Amino acid sequence: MNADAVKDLIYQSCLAMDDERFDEYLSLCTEDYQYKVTTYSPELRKEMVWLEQSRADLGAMFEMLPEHVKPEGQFTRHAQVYRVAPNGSAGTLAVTSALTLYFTTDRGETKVFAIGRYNDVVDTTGPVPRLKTREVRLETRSLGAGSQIPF
Amino acid sequence: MTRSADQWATPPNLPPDHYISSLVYSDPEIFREEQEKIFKKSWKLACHESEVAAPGDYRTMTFAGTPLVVIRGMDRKIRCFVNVCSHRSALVARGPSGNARTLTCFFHLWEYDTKGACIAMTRDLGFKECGPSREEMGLRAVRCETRLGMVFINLDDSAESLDAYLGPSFELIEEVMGTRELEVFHYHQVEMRANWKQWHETNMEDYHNWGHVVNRTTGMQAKGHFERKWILYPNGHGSIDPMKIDYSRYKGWQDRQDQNLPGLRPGELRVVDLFPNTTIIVRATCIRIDTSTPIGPSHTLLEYRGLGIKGEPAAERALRVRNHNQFWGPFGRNLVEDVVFVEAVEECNRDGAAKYSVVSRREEMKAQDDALLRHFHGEWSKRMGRPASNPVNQMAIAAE
Repeated sequence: MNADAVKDLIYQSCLAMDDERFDEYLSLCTEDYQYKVTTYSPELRKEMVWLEQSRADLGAMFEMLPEHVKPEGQFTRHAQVYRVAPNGSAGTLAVTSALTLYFTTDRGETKVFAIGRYNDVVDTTGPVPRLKTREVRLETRSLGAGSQIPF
Repeated sequence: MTRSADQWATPPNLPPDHYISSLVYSDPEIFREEQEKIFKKSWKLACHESEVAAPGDYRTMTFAGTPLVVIRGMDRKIRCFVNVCSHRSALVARGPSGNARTLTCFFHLWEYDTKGACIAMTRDLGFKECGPSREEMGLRAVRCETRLGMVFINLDDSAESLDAYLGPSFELIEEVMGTRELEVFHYHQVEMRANWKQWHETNMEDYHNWGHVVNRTTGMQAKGHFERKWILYPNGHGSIDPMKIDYSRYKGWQDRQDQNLPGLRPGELRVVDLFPNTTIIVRATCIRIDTSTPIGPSHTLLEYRGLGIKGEPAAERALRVRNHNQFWGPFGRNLVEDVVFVEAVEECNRDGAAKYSVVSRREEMKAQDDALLRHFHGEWSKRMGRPASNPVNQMAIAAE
């Protein structure tokens, strides 16, 4: 699998989420896609899972988003693929990307919202690569009101 | 019909305890007075005992402007100290948590045991002539008591006991939280641009659930939702009758049939609100505890904890975490909305655009009665020596 195609997948996933084109985002994922957000708590000295969703869970979540009250503004994801490496199992690659997430309010003010990494496993068995798992590993734990839209 | 500026500023034609002046949320002087009259005298949730599970485990926090350290001693007793070195006033314990057999100040390496006694003064010969002695240099102890695994502290040495303060407030959660050992699996903070009371009011007001799509589709559809009654306890605490919720009414969610916490029916909800600023919410399989640290009139640090059963199998924990995260946590469906609601209220209080908020709903103490809000502000008014409906007038009287 061409590494550029894998990088394109990561960047397409960011653009789809930035534009809230959630169907397109899901089309970039395998049927058994698993998504989670993790971080480490220095307070508890423990790992934490802040969100864990299957593809079906995400689909339902996206469908309900218009019903929810959300902070007024939009996210912009900036990802940089640092490493594409064999994953130890045939037909998959491990992809590590740096992630910066910005939030722009409806008044046009932009702030860094969070930093972290995408730790992805990409399925390369099909004609195009697809996301099989994504761990959003957050360094930032202070997220203001939070977000109903996954990163 | 619209109102003129004068009409807008005129107190509502309601009993005084049925409305609140917006100044109680925005006035810097009132905020400072709250620190002295409420926060330095009330029992405050500091952490859960599982956060200091082993001897030497400690947690630090700052409350009412006072750095604190909660530490489990070598004798396993949990204590709290002002986290300030007796020598030159540096922080003794740094970072949010840790483990230490003794607490050593990093500045001049004075050392304290886990009971707060000063056990070493670096190059102590220099203190021989004038003093002080080690015996005089212990840490400042802070009242610290634990109930149902929750560690509470009180900066007032002469405060009533925690049990007296709580009274029967924990009756609905005694079995839930007192049967099996619990531990915190989730912790996060939110720095909210709003007054601390606004957050706590949201926890005490069932009426705001109309704003949450999750609640409109789940809890508010449940049989008996509107018929539940508030239970008011002394000292401003309160609770509400339990209810059973069908979580599968929300798209993509499942019912909570399994792994319900002790004493609960599947899907059962229980809530306890403690004056001034702690709420315990039990949603069948998981528990959220939130508490706040007021930083300024419009600036509040919120802390959220999620709890499950200590030592449970990974699969069971995963379900509990999942259930917790559906509602709560930074990606929860409800918690984000609550912060947005409250910050929107603050925007209107900040510079005086809002004059009064109305807490006049009466439904025979049923769920959407504002009884607990009035109860809370009754306690606030008593402690502050001024009614929440008219705090400035009282200030003027006090000044005279």
